[in-house]
Amino acid sequence: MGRVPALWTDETIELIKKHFVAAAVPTWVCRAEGPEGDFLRRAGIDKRWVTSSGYMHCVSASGKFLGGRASLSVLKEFQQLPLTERAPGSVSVPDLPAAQAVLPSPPVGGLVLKVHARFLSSDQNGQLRPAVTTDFPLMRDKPNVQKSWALFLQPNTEYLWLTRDEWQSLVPAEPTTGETLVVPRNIVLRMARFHLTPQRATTSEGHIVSVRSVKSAELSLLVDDASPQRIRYQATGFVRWGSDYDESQATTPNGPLAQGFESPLYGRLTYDREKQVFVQFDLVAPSHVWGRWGDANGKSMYVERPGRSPFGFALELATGNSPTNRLPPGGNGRYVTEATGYFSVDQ
Amino acid sequence: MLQRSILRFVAAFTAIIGAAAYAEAPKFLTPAELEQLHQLIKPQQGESRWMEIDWYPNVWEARQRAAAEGKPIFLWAGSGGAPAAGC
Repeated sequence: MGRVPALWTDETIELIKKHFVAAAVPTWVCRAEGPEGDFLRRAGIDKRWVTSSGYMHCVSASGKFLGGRASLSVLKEFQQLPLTERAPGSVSVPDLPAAQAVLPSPPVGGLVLKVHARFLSSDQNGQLRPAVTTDFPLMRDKPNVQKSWALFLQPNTEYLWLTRDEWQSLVPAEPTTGETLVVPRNIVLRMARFHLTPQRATTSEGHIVSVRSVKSAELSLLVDDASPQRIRYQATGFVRWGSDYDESQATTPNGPLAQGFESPLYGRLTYDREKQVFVQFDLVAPSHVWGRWGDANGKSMYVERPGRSPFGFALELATGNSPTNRLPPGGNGRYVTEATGYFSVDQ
Repeated sequence: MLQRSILRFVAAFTAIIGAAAYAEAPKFLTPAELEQLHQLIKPQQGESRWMEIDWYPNVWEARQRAAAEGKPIFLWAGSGGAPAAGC
């Protein structure tokens, strides 16, 4: 199903926004114990979400299966349900106790950053630009592959969580212009392991970088303006994980070199001392990636390129009240567990 | 001019192999340079249009909202939970 190129038209987006309630969840939810999994299973969703690939289906709040992706025909199907199953307020859905929720929520009082990931290329003058499908040798002569991958070359956005204690640790009580703060290692490790991973632009499946694969994860903040109203910082750092680059080994397809990644980090943060909130948290990672992009079977993915390939991440505050801002990191609540060490210092 | 220079500069220094290249990289970007790079990477108008939709992060909350508003639920599921990682 993927991102379904034909779906994201003005008409469909308007239809969804006006007539549907949209939710984005990992496929495993349909097999989870508890009310959420029970609800999906009653609608037969577990018979449909049989792999980890992308699926789009519609159901009623009463638990009736309505069809595939959001469309006028699905809407018609919904409108044929008895009023007791579709009139506003006619279906009672009690609050779900937090202990029964299968997906985590952002930490209370925490901070959420959007992480945009984009494939980049260099043009003939050596300038960075967004990548296009013809930049990728493995799909260059395959028009159908190019068509299906085109949307993956548009930026993918996911979310990074900081706890209240973590973001507050970035705010000195008595800031001085010119002082430098070292961002705690667990925060930068989190960026490196869970978010500055190019797989986030395609499938997130399983790609959490192990702690021992991280060779460098540093970020510091220089206070360049401290006033009673605000603290402004310049950020600088560096992340590297995975294999050491070896041009002779960085071949494709199915070359011998494991994936590697490195990037400088640059940023600008502003803290409003009166409101006691960050009002700017912009970071960029103009990166390079090399080696094998393994798919579920370990084979090269179409977006793999020989040598070192440019890739970019841009981070910013998630502002506004959209529920989208509460999607878990990587879109998958299982990334935020004790086992993965998302919030741990020692992992 | 600014755009051309910073994008070429970043492309050049990140193309140099090895950590030494980064050690010689500028420590900071100016606000304008940072903004140029940020904008290059972020979704531009007409891109990533699935993000124009409000996505509820769990089934139950979507179900409550759908029941209250009398609307069907549109579910997008993926390996890592689309749209954040729409396999």
